[in-house]
Amino acid sequence: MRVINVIAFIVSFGWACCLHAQPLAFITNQGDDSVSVIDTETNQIIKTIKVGHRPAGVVVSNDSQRVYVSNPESKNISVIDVNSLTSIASIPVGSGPVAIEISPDDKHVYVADWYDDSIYVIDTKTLGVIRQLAVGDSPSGLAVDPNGLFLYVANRDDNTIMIINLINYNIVNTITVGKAPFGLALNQARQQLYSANVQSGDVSVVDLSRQKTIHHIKVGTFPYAIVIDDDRLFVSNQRSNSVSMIDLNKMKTTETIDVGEYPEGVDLHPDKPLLYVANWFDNLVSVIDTNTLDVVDEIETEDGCRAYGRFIANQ
Amino acid sequence: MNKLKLLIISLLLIPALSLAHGPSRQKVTESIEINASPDKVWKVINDFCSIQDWHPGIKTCASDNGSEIGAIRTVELENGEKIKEKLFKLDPEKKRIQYAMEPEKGRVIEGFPVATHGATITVSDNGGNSTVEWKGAFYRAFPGQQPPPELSDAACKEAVSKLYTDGLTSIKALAEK
Repeated sequence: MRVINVIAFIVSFGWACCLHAQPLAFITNQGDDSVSVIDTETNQIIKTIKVGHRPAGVVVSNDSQRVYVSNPESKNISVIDVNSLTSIASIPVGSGPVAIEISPDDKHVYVADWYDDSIYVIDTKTLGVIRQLAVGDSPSGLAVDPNGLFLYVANRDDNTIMIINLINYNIVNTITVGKAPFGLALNQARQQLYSANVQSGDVSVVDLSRQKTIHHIKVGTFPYAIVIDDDRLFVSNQRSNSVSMIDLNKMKTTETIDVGEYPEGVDLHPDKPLLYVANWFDNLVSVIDTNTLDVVDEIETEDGCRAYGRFIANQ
Repeated sequence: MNKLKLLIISLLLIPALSLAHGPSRQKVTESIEINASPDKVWKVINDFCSIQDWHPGIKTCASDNGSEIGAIRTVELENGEKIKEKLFKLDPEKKRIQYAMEPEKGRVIEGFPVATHGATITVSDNGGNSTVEWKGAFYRAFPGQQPPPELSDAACKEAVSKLYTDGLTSIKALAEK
């Protein structure tokens, strides 16, 4: 029996190693109730996995073993096993889960609920909700610091960012940003937090040591999600069909890259200078070379790709 | 008893007041082939407020700054409901108009129960004739979780689809005259 287990382990490990040699990207398709899995080596879709109803948010665990997908219309979280590329569980959560994040140690998943004005904390071992934290109006974006001490929440309809202490789950501070903050990104090196503000068309820069907003940087129309690339930010602009590049040393937008219609999720390849952008209206993922800023590839997905969150595996 | 009822009703209203719209954005694309040149078709629609002339469902339109980028037009539906829409792009080269509803938190428009509606109309060349495409994205305006059928996602999609197809049919009729 033991021998069989060992063999099974070796076989499955072997499969895992060779099937997915390259980091995978997990793209939620709102209109198809599915996740498209992209092999970033070939930029081909290698599998489409059925999840809950109208999936939106996504986060890959830091060990690249699991993917968590928020399904606002079926009010649950789908759990995908990366080795088998199958959905292994669904966790009922709140009334309208959208944004989703994971703690650096992969022990907790945080879900922002659009209807319940709450953050739900999920234990990734038991796959159960262990806490509900009341936050502001329509929480839409989440970021967690690399030490796992603080969770940052964008309250879309309060125009604020809330900082939650993850040791005692107290709200430490509430900071006013631009109008309708959605996507967040945390820059530990610079001690800055960025919010994409849908209605004011800018990115707020929050200085975390002073705990206040120090800049508003103009981007396109309806900015949605942000990803940090060293001294640069890439911001998707839903209604400009573009991605803005912000130079953090100049604190301004220096380039604008045209992509498909209604770009939403943005994420970077862990090893190569590539930015992946999910274009919701076009059912298309644009791949941008971050050195030349050219669109170098386009990948067709199922209907309504959103990929709101950290959707590319680390390995 | 009445006080209790009032309390329950107001508690039920709290989520409705705090939310802007439903959680899932929807999209609609409609298009039509027109036996007229793109230039001719463009002339029918290239003024931001010409929608009052070519759309059978729009009674009146007034713009606060003509067809300048950033202008806000107020269109009046046949039932008298008024909607404010902002012009984002008007590109004579690409023959494209892009506009979006001004945000009005919590409003459910009678007969057009959508929120955050943004749309693009594009005229493209089709062998000397034209193809006009009208596409847009929106949310249902009903803020709660269980909309009545007339305010549901499906009803919103139908209302937007009808807006586009009625408009396109009329543009075709005018341009082919």
